Amino acid sequence: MNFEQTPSFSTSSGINRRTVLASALGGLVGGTSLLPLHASAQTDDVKIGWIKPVTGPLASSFGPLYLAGQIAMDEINAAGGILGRKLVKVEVDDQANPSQSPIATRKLVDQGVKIIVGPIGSSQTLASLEVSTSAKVIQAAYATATEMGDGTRFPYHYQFNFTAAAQVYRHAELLQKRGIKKVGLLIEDSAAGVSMKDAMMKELPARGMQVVSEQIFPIKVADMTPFLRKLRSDGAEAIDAQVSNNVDITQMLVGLSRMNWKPLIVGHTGLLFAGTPGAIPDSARYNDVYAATFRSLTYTDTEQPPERVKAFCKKLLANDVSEALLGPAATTPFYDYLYALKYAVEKAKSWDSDQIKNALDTASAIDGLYGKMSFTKERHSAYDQSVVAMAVSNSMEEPLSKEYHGLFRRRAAGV
Amino acid sequence: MLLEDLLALLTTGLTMGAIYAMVAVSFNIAYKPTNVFNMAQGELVMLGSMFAWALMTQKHIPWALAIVGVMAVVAAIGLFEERVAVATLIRRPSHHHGWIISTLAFSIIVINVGDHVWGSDAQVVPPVPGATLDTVQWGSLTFSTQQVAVILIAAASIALVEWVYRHTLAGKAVLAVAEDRDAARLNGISPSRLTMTSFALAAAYAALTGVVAAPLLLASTTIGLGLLVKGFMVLAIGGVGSNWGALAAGLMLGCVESISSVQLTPGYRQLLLLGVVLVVLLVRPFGLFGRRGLREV
Repeated sequence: MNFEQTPSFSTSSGINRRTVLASALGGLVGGTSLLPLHASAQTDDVKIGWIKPVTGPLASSFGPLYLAGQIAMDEINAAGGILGRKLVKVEVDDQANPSQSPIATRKLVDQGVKIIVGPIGSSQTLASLEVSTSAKVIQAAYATATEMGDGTRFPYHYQFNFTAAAQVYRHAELLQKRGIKKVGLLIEDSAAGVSMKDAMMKELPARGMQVVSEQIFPIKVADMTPFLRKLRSDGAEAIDAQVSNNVDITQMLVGLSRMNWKPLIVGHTGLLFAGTPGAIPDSARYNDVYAATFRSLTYTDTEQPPERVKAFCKKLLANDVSEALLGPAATTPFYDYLYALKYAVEKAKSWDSDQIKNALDTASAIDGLYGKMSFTKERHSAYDQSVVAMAVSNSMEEPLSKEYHGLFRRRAAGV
Repeated sequence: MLLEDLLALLTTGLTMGAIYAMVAVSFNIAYKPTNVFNMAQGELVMLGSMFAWALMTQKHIPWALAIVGVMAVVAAIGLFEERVAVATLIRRPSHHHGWIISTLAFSIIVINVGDHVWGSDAQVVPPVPGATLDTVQWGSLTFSTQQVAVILIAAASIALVEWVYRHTLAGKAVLAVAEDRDAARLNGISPSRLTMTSFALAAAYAALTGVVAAPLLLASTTIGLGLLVKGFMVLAIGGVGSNWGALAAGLMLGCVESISSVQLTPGYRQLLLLGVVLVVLLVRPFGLFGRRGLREV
C-alpha cells in the first residue's frame, strides 16, 4: 500500500482537520450506532441477535418494548439455559429506521447469529427480513401486519403478537353486537395502518356494515379534528381506529371533545394509552372506547387474569417504564418467542435453523403467556382471534387496573 | 361538507400556517447576515417546547418568567451552535458550504440528546396566559383562544422583527451585511458579531415558536423535523429573507394542508404541498415576496 498517497490535512487541498471533523460528525453519530453493542459471548453461549433502536428519535419509546424479551432470557438462563447453553445478547442499533434495519441485520448475520429478536415496526421488519430470510435466521419481530405471519413468504419468521385480522375480527364483533351499520375508519399512515385497513375493509362489509368514510392521518398528527369532522359529516355512527401512539390518542380525544362528539370507538391496542397527562379534559374520556388486547390482560366480575400473567406483569412493573409504554411493553412478542424457541430447540435437540423451524411448524400447543401457541408450515402466527378480547379503555381507575398501572382492563361485555 | 366543518378546517390551517411562518422567520433571522440555513432550526423549536414543559409544567414557574428563561437558554444553544458548527466554516470561502452538514449534525446531536433526556412521550405545555384550549362557538365558527393567540403572536412578532430591521441601527447593520459582507466590514460593522447575535436571536425566536405551538401540538422531541420541512417550504414560497412573505406563505400552506387533509392521504397531501412549492417557484423563482439577487455597482 502506498501510504504517501494518503491525503494530508493541508490547507492547499481545501480541506483541513476542522472541516473533516465537522463534516464527519453527522456520519459518526449515525455510523457508530451500527456497531455491535454487546458481543462478549463465551464459545458455548448462544448468540441472540437483538435489533433495537439505541439512538434516534424512537429509541426511548421502543426501548421498553424489549423488556419482556429480557425477562424471558433471564428466566431461561436462570433455569440453566437451553440444552445447557446460556443465551447472550448481541445488540445492534437500527435506530428504528427501515433503511438501517437491513444493515443492522447484516451485521448480525455476518457474525454468525442464527436467532434474532426484533426489529419493531412493520416497515423495519420487512426491511430486516430481506436479509435474514436468505440466511435462514429464526426471527420474531414486532409487526402486526398479517402477512408477517405467512410462513410461505417468510419461512423463518414467526409472529407472536396477534394479527391485524384477529384484532379486526373482535372490533367487528363488538360493532355488530351494538347494532352499528355505518362505520368510519380512522387510520394512521403506516404499514400497520394499511394492514388494519385491509382487514377492516374485508371484515366489516362481511358482517353487513358499511364503511362510509376512510380517513388516513399522518403519525403524530398536529390536529386530529379535521379527520374526525369528515368522519362525522360522512355519516359514521362508530369509528374503527388504528391509532397506535399516545400523541395521536391525545389528539383524537381532544378533537372529539372540541366537536362534542362521543361515537362508539373500537380499535387497536394503542387505544389503551391514557393520552398525554393533563392534555385531555376529563369530559373527553368516555366509556364507549374499546381496544383489542390479549384476553388474559382483561378481567370481568367473575374472571380474573391468569397468575402467570400477573407474575409477568409484576416483573415488568419492577422496571422503570413510563405508564404510557407499559401496555405495549407487556404485549410485545419477545417473551413468548424465546420460550417458543426453547420448546423447539429442546424438541429438535438441535440449534440448526431448519430443525428449529420444523419443530415450530409442527407445534400445536406451546404454553404461551397469553394462551396456547400453534403453528403450521404456512401459518407462522402463534395466536388467532381466540386470545383477543375487547377491553374498556376507560377502566384504569378500577382497583385491579390501578394496582397494575393499567396493564389489566375490564373486558367489554359479550366480546 | 358542512360550513362549520369547512371553517374549522380553515381555522386549523391558519393556526398551523402561523406556526410554519414563525419557523420560516426564525430561518430568516439566522440567514440574513450569514447566508446560512440552519438545519437545526426545527430542533431549536423542539427545545423551546421541551424546556417550556420542564419549567412551566414540571417546575411550575410562571409562564412569563419561564418563557424568558426558555428563550435565553435556547439562544445560548444557538450561539454555541454558531461557534462550533458555522463560524469556522463560513470564514473560509473555499468550503463555506460545510455548514450544511455541520448544522445537520448539530440537529442530530440535539435530537439524540433530547430523546435520552426526555424520551419521546408527548408533554403538555400550558397555553399563553389569558388563552385556553376550550372550544369557543361563534356562529358557525369554532376555535380556541389559544389558536387566536398563536396567529396574533405570529403576526405581532413578525411585525416586531421587521420593525427592528427597518428602524434600528443593529437591524440596518444586519441588512447591510446581508447585502454585502465585505462592504459592511469596511464601514465598521463586525459581521462576526452580527452573525453570533443573529444565531442567538433566531434560536430565541425558534424557542418562542415552540412555546406557543406546544399547547396545540404537544411538546415532544419528535416535532422538530416536520416543522423544519414545513418551514423550508414556506421559506421557498414566501421568498428567502422576506418575513411578511413567510407569513403569507405560511397561512396559505397551512390552509391548503388542512383542507386537503380530509380528501387526500398523507402521501398525496405531501405531493400536493410540494406541487404548490414547485408551481410558485416556476412562476416566481425567488418566491412570492423574494427579491432577485441583483447588486448595484
